Amino acid sequence: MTSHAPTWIALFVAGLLTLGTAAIAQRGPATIGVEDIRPGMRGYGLSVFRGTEPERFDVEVVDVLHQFLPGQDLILARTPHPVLDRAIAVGGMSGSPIYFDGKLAGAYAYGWTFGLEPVIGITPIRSMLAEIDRPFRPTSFPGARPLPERPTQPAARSPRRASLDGLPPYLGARVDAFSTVRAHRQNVVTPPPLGLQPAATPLMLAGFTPRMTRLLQEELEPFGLLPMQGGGGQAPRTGAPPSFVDGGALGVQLIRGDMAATGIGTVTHVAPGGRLVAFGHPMMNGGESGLPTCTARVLHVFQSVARSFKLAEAIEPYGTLIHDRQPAIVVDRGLAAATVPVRIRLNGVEGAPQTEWNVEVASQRSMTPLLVFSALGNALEASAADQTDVVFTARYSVGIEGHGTVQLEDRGYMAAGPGDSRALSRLRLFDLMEVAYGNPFEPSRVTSVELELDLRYARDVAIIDEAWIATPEVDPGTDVEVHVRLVRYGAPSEVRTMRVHVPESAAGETLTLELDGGSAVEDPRPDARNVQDLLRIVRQSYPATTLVASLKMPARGLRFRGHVVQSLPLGALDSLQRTSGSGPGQPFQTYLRRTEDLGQVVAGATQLTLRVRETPRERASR
Amino acid sequence: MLRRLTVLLALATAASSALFLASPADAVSTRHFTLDDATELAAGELEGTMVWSTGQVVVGAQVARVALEGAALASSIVRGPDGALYVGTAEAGKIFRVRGESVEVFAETGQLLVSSLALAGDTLYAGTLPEGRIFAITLADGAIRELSRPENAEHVWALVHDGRQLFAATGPEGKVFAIDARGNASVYFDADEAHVLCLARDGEVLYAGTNDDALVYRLRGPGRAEIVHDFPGNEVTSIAVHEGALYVTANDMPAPRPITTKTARSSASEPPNPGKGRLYRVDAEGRVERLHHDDGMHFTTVRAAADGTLYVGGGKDGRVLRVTPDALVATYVDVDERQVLALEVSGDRPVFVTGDSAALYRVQPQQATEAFWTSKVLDAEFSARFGQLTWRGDGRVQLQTRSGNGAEPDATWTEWSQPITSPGPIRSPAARFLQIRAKLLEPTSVIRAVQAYYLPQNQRTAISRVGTKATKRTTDEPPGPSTNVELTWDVQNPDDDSLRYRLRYRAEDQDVWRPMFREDVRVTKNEYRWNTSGLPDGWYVVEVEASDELANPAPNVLRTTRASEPLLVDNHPPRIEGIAFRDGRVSGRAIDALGPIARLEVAIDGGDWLPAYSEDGLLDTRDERFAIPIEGLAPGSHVIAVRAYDAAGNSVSAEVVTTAR
Repeated sequence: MTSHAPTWIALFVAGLLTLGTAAIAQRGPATIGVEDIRPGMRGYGLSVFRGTEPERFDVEVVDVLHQFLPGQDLILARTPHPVLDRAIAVGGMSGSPIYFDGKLAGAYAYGWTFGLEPVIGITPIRSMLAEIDRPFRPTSFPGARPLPERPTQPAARSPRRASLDGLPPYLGARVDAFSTVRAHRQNVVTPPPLGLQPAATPLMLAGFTPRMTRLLQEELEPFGLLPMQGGGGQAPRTGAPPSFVDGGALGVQLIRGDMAATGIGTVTHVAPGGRLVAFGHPMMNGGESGLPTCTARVLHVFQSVARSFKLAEAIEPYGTLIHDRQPAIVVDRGLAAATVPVRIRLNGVEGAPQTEWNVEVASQRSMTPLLVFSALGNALEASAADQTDVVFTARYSVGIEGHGTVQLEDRGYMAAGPGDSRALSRLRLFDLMEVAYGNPFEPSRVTSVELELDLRYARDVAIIDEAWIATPEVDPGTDVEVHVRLVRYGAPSEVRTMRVHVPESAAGETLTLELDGGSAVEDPRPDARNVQDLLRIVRQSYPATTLVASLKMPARGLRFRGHVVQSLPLGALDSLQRTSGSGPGQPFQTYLRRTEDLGQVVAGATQLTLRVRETPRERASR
Repeated sequence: MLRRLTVLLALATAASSALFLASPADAVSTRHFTLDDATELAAGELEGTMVWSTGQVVVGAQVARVALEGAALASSIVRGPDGALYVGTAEAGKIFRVRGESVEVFAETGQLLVSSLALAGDTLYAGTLPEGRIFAITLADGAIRELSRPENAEHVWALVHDGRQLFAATGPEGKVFAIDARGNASVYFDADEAHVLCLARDGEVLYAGTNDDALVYRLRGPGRAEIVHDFPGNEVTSIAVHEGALYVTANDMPAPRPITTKTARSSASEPPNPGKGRLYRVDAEGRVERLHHDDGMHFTTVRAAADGTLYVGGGKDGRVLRVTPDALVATYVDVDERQVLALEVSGDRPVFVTGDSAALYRVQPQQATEAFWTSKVLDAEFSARFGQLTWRGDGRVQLQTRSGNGAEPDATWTEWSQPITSPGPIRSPAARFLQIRAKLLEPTSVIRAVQAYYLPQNQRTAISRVGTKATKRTTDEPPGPSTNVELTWDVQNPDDDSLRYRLRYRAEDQDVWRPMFREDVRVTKNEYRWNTSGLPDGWYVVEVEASDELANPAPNVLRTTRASEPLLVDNHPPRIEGIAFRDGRVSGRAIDALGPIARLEVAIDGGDWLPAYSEDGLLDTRDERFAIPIEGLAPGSHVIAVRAYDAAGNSVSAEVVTTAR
């Protein structure tokens, strides 16, 4: 928190200046309310059909739909225009300002999927402008910084808690690259398919493979984003300072650099106070979002029966999407959003045209893991799309604000080759990101990601085929030799022998012995007390190259904040599992484990049943 | 006064005996709660009272509570040379020092639980969970250092210092380690069990108690161990030594509940199931004697005071038991916390610490100034009207009651009634649950038995089904005709009082019910064989009335009735008309008065009856035409017979003679 203080003081001072200016100046455009809209009224809209200059298109009111959304009406209108007559509802036109009687009435925002006539829904401007002054929590955008030459409005609410983006806190349970975006998706209600739909926001992907495009479509379409391979990288800068105009194109940059992903929409109105409203509908309905925005250039309006959209590309980073709300998104032009620089290096791919990628991704809990994974997977597939077995070693360092840089190494195996990069989605890299963004203890964020991926084209994996012991009846208090047959490609199978200790306390029990690769085994973890505990939890895991023998014991253990107690006797289990207060120990089944590092990734699993004699044979025969 | 009380009790007892004698065993008549043995009397709350195993509630000792703020449970205690008490706690692994009313954190181990403490000279030793670390703390300044971390030990359950070295009982490999002053740990004893839970020293000999088998070992030197006794149950939690005898608490703990998502994530767990506790004495000759047992509470610790009195910590309801040298057992103290986990008896009076939640209690020298005994919640099973409250005892006492319909006393219950000082009517209103509280007004007051009379509200029986008894029958067998209908009905009788049934019937299209049997026939089973031979064929409805008049006086009798679905009474066979053989077919009509015809059969020349169909292939009306093809008749005369059944199993047959050419 302390490190952010100067930034927020600057924001606050800048905001006071702005407010003062706003109080003196006549604020806001001339607007027309819904109550003055009549069927048949004619007006016009502004949007960019090519380049950066907005053009007019005609608009004729059909009628007003009252209470279309809670507290929000909708103006239905036709848009007779040579392009729009065929394109019907165009993704990327969302936010285009609509004027009647020369006054701003609202924003082009909704359309019908497979509509036959160019009838659209217009979000009334007053609903949108109601959002423009909405304050935000200073902690909502950690890492964002005010632009000195640009006015901004102050953060108006004191921080109350770390923002977790509406998701449950991260307490150490394993996650993958998709966990947060999918959890966030559950909070988003997709509009019914037959009604009015928000005009989709085309997400222009540059430098992405078709497979990664498809993956992003699967993950992001439920939010109303329409990922498409449309180029959309960085257009040459003009040299002039970036600016937004009413009806101009606006981009929300999720990724930029060697790859890019930019959501395209239209500015409805640029207010004098440093903020603007756009889209006329939410982008992802994420509330306070902190996503970087940019100016954009439209290349073409692509007309399609299924979905028409603008092809566009980013020009220059400018501003931050601060509110993602029902009637509009709000952009603060005086704030530069925090991003996460990501560097990816690939080793072991001979002849690859590119082995290093540098991108910046948006810094946001629900989106950043997916964006980093998409960049990683895309880099991998672009360099090594071979459909062959690959083993990988991923060494990465993640900068976590307030906690320095954390370095980890994971090894794994991709049976379908680097093209199927989903195996990488389970890297502990994504757990570290959750530690930063989702910990319930303190505000933090990911400040950088550097990842080096060593690839080896080999089916260098040992698959657990079967396991056996000399006899299923074993003596308590002895070591049992467990033979495990491991199958390797292109090599004879190998039998490894592990010694597993059967404790004397297991006398008379029937136990299960499970054999797994290290990546499939998790020890019980204590409940974290702070970020350091969470980092310790993430660090503790079995390498994928270990063969793990787990003897499932009847005894129970308990997890506490900061502690795990294994193998408790029943009386102690009863005492420690207290009933008063909150946070009693949480029970788990105890395992006795033995590991052996095989030097190669271990896959597969099997299990055995051990019947432990009441008395060792030797003693019984005495 | 005493004599008058005795007379009153005698009268009340005689009256109640008479009531019981006059009523059938299952009658809903006056009942009573009787609390007259140690188990029943100790099942409630004791506040300044104690309950002897002889079944007496007397004024008990005063206790003073010291809260241990910031700790969830306290599980170990030792007394320092200056009288200060050192208490090991969880869940932050702190050691508290308590001097008088002053409580301070003396040392912090950084572990979860300080499970054991031992004192030697100016050093306090602390054994911990979950990493099996043993700490040495200087008493003078509280300086703490890790002394030892025995190999593979995760739990240090007990510590004993013999003046030369420290012994640590550990799990999960069931070892006792000997640890020298430098912290070097060597295995002193390796048990076959998972945990060594307790240690006790008697001169040069160590005793060790184990889990998962409840064994006590005698350790005479490194690796020199012998089993003293294998106790029933699965853990020995504590051993005390006094004048050559061992006192052992051995428990039989139930298996833990299965781990489910709910239990693994619950924020406040439900109370675990307590185990069964046993207290044993093993004398110097090895004779084992059970001193006490409790099937509803396991024992966590036993300590022997200098005079031979034993104090036992309970794993449920915050109890401390006191066992006199002549084996008289008292529920000595009852505190609000769930468990008493450690006792210290080297001072004048016992001190104990608790778990769930953490506190330290000192037993005071004086008797309790306020002595209350509160019964457990008494369940009448149904809403009940309460009668007399009587008791037996000595000295002045006053009793109160309260009642409610929830199993736990809460805001929905009544307030405590006005106290009564001699037996009299219970003043709490009718309810299902009752609780009794007694205040012992004199230091010598005693309560030996308490009785509360009540009359449960009579409960109405429900009849859920009236029908006929299902009979097993294969589909190939025709039903057998019978004029008896086996009626049966299902009843739910919440208060299990005696029932009698009356059965009535009426034709389906009539309104008048007729009794099925005379009033002097007493049907008490839920079945009846109804002879319908005297009834015309037709559909009938049967009504069953259940009455609890056999168990209740007339004003309280409750009756309930339920009617059956219509039942078919058909005691007359169908008839066959117009039977003839023509063109290779035997034809005619099978007609029943009520119908439908259920089965048609044909037999040739006295052969087997074979199934046949009606003309339309369906047997679904009371009048079925048939034209059954007969093929393959040898030339000559033949008798062709047709048999028809109705749905009640009545049958008729007819035959025709034909000559084949």
